[in-house]
Amino acid sequence: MDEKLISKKELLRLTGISYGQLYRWKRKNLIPEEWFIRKSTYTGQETFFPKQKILDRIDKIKRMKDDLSLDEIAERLSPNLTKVMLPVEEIIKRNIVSKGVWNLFADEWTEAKTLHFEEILRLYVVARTLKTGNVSLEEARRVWSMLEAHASHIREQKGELWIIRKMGIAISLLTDSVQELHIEADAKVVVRLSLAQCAEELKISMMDGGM
Amino acid sequence: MDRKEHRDFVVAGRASTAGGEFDRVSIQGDGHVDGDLTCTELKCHGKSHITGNVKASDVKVYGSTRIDGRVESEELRVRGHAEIGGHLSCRQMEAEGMLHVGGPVTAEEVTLEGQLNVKEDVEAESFSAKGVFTIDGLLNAGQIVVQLYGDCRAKEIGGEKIEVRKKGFSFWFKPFSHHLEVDMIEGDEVHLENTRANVVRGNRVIIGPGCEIGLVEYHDHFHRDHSAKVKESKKL
Repeated sequence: MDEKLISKKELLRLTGISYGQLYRWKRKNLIPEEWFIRKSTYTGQETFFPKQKILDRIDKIKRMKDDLSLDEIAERLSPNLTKVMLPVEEIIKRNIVSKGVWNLFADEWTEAKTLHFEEILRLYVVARTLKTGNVSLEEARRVWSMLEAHASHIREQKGELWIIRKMGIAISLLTDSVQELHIEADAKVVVRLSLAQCAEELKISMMDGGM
Repeated sequence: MDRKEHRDFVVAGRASTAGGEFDRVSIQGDGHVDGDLTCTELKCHGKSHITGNVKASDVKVYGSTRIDGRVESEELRVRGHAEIGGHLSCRQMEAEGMLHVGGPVTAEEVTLEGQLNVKEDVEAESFSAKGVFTIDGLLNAGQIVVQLYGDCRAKEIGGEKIEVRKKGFSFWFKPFSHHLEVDMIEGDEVHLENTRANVVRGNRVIIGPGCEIGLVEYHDHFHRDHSAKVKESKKL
């Protein structure tokens, strides 16, 4: 991480906000938890922030503060991404899904040029399985239709996707919840993905480009 | 939640269920819920163990209850003994008995008259304690009022208004008076008594009797009681 950091003390001095405001904004989730970076200094533990990000964010909050409540600001700063729709060019530009993967399934949407979160997530999961290099295009297509047939897994972002291969033949499984799954000795798990985790990753990559 | 749709779950002796959705859940004997529980009201008078998450409008614990997962409720009142494994989030929380939380606590209003132990952060708009607490993370609240009825501890405290007072007249037993131990306190208005802290920072800082502070950094105002120990103070 070569980002420039700013100490809490310096931040308050530069922006003129008080400790109380900073803590209040943290409470209201206006400032992401991961921006609070703890470091040891000679006076003990100190908190640092990524400089540019926090200065931009505080500037934003100060400007919105007069017209909006803190809850409304929180909603604007980290919108509920499951309601977001994204144009295809944007999805490819942000490298959420590569052009190659998109082309594989593009004929599914002959008209639609803007996709819902659920659709993007389905694409993303398939792209992830292809990325492992252990899955052929044909197998990825079958995963795709399985996810389509069991749409609730994607909608509720639950369960896991497994692909197991034995002697060149692959079987995909979609499970609700897995404590443990035992497979025979010469079979191999080539893909294991949690849908909730994929959704989380997808949200992060959607946020990065949008903020 | 629709009251009509779900049945009640009442235990007056000993019973188990696999969880699910209920209207009222009342456990007066020994109840075991193996899974998640969603209900309008959860009342535990006896002994109960819930292995999953709880979602309710109202949770009251008079007996002894262990919930392994998360708890999400409008109100939570503990008069007996409660143990929550995961994240506790509620609007109003009252602990008059003993409450252990393994995850973080998020609430609007926290009133403590018993004992509270939290393994992670506590976030609230108002936090008022007349009891004993141990918070392993950050206590972050708009208004913090602590009256020391025992030894309290938090890693860090931050907020707008922070007030720590020793209980009533304790000049008889001065050596045994109770203390708050904390690494760092940061707030707009800070008024402390009987507090041991490495660093205290704020706009207006008053260090009262019984305090031992390493460093005070202040903006507008600093007052120190003659009996308080302050190693170093700096105006910013």
